[in-house]
Amino acid sequence: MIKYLKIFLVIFLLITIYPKCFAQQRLFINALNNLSFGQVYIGYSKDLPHSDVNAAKISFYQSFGNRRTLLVNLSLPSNLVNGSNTIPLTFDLNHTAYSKTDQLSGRTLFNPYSTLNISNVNKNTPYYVWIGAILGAKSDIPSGTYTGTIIVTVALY
Amino acid sequence: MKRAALKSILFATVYCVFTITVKPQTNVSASSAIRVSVTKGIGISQLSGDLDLGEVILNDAFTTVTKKPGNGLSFEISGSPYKSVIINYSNTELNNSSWISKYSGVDGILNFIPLVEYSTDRKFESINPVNNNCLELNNNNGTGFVYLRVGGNLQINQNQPAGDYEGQFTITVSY
Repeated sequence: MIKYLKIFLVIFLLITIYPKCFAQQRLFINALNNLSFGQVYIGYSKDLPHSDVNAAKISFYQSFGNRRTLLVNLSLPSNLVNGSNTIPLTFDLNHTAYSKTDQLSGRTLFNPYSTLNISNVNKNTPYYVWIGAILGAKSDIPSGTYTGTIIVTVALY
Repeated sequence: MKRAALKSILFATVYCVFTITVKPQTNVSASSAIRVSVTKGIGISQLSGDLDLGEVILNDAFTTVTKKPGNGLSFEISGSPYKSVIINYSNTELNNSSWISKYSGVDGILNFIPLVEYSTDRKFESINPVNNNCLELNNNNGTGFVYLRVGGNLQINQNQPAGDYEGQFTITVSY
């Protein structure tokens, strides 16, 4: 009986202390570029398309196997914030795109407020998402740096 | 009996731990920052004065006529607080072509050499010369200001043709 208890204890410790050895990460995501509007004059708007080098760029891939489906969800702010001051930000279909290749041509536009469903994703094949936006710096806001955050979540279906 | 029970517990534990903890990660997130620097555009408005140097009596000698900046044109430049602005201007030429087309005479040219000074207060209590350089705007309730005054020297040569001389002086302000 003691023998069984010892084996039980050893296995239990191994599994609870080193769970990462058994549960490897197989879905990977990287934020490659921030969404940077640079300098905008008060009272003017700025349209930053997904094709601009200053658009946000995220890359992801999976290593589970071939012909998998990935679901991509974006959490987008409606304003950029500087203390109590805000600037409205608009994301839309024409400013959001994805592609299997890291280049301008061949991108597919998608609605940033809907779940993007990418099927037949092969193992270790990177995909890219680019996010641009339109910013309107109203005439009654003070100067300063306004910030926000985009969160991109990728899930295996 | 006890041994069999222990075997069952051991098997169940190992099975449960594996099925629960060995499940691979199926959901990942990344965040991307959004950033913009909002700046007031530059505004420039004339406050007062002019660059009329009046009437000069020709006396067949090289003469310099001066209009002090304090008696010349004054401008208010507005923009983002503490932001630097670059002031650019250059010498300019005045000509009497408009006058001689009306009254006939000899074409002539005069060199106008601007004198520019600035202050961060509207009353120009503290004055500094501007030599095509960079100035920092002040902060007055969230708006940056700097004030310019423009005068200049007019060089009148020997045998300078008579007439009314006109020209354009351009001063450029940029971030």
